Amino acid sequence: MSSLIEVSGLSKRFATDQRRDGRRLEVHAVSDVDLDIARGEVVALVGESGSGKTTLGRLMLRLIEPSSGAIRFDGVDITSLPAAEMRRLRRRMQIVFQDPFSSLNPHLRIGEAIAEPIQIHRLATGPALAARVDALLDRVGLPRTARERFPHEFSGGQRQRIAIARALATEPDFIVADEAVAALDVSIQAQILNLLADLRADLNLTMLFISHDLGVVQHIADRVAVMYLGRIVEIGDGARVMRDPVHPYTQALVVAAPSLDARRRNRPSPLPGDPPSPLDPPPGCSFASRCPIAEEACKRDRPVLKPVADGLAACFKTRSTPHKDPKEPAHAA
Amino acid sequence: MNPLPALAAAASEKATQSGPTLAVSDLRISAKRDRKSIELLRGVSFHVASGETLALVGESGCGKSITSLAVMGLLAPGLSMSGEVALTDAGGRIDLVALSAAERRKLCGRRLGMIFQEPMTSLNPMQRVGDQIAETLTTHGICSRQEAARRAVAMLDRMGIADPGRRALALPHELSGGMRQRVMIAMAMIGEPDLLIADEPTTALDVTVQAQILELIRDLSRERGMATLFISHDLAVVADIADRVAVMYAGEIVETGPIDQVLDAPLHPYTIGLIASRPALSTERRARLSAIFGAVPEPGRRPQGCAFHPRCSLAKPGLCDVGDVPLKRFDGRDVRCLRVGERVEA
Repeated sequence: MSSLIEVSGLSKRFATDQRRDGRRLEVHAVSDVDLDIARGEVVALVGESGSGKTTLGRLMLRLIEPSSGAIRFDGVDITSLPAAEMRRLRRRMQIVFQDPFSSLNPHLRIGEAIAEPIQIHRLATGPALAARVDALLDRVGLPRTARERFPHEFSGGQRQRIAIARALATEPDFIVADEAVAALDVSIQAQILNLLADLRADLNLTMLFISHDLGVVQHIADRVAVMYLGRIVEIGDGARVMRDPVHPYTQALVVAAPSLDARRRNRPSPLPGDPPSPLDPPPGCSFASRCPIAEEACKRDRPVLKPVADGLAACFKTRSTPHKDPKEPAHAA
Repeated sequence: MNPLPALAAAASEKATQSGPTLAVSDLRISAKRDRKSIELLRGVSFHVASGETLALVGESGCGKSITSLAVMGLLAPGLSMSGEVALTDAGGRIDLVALSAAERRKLCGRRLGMIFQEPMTSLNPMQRVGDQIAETLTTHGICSRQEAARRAVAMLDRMGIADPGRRALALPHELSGGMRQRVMIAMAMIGEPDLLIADEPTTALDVTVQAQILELIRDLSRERGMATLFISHDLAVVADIADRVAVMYAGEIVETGPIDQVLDAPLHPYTIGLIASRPALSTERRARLSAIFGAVPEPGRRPQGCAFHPRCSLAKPGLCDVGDVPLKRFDGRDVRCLRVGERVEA
């Protein structure tokens, strides 16, 4: 499979007003990330708030500029593509946000909102434009009468359908869905997840699906990348990562995720403490301060991603962590 | 985790009394819109015993939050309410509805603790968090300022906050969201309340912090015999914390019973649908989720008969779309479905 989008060594640091020892402190939001997504693949990005997943999604679309590293889209290096060319390319990369209440212009009729990206990219006018808007409404399961109505007349789930129609309007290859179902009630969330699955199958969409909900992620993603303090600590087949995680942080996440299947019985103690500050990331493994199996070396040296099972994990101790599948022992880092 | 000595002492004292019980009966709340009365809550009844956690669960608009606000006496003005909300213990019975603001303040912190979803709006931005936690104790004259400050730091430690002595001196904005939430929980817990009302207390938190806080609420309710009313939209969180659950839909309880029974063998079609819509780690990848079709009815547009019948695949015309559906006892729980008997017997 060829990559549609590929990032390497990608980092983003944000300046702050805080100073220490005369030097301005920076938030290390994303640090040295390599990630490639094949055409038609869905990669989920999981991690807790502050782990850098939203920043990484925006960097990949160049909605914000990286501090260092490179982004390639469909074989072209877009890291420093001039604005005019980048605008043209945006037709092929779109984003769906979490909050369908703030991502739609309240003064724009639904038909106008969906037509807008088509007009901006000059893809259709007149009757062809109207036909395209109707087709998009059909596609996301909204009645065509929605065209004349305003966002406030729709429920959260319907608005998210509108936001998806708008993202699909320019026939993109790549979509970043940033917590796109997080704000929805569970029965509506299931409807939208089914819609995304249909769209992906019918349109061969490539997707970066950002979410904190492991159940949702496991359901939709081919591969899952787990972020902690701006770095990917584990990546691999979605079902395997959730069933049989290798990195101690992924293991803690899976254990902590509330689930109807594994109720409080037999639940080990939750992970103690909080992540370190991204203003001053530790020199060694960023997870060492909370890790139940960390050793002195983990606090001193930073582990790099090494092959484990079907993916990669950044942990010195993967060999000694129990791995349930005897056929596939975790490779030592 | 060792319980604080003060908490352990209180727990043994509690055990010798008959524990406190929250009893809510036939709670009805309605709003006026365009001179029409809109029913938001249609006769909700439940009780929570000492040491027990009851979860109210349901989707937006089902009435779970308005129920908790009514119990706390924080209903918005302009809503009309009927029914009873009473807290009973060995010391007598307090009618929570009839309390004046001053009487309520006396109870808050000592007999009633509350945790909300958004900690930033519930904390004083200008006051050190340690002082805010200690205030409950000094306000009620429970102990000296010094002792209160010491207990506040001990409580932060209990919350799993590293370096609690230093954190107690911080202002709310200097802490992360997860820490602020734990500060608010410490405020609610330090007065050792008989009844804790927690409205989506962990919804804004990351899963690892959420797991810490759920464990803490469980520990405190077990140690102290605290009764907990826990409001959540998330069945999996509820599965983690509740002894009993009440599933709400369109202003009514549609199924209530022991948590394992309800989750393992749900009887109401809405409960069944809620459980099936949730992608679980065990769900096969990319299998279609069995979504409940349609959407929750808007307030004031409640359908005739069973409120769920337009979305229910088992609904029977002429039966489910006429008349009110009562809660009926089936298999150890109460279910509001006219067809449940047929299904259980079949």
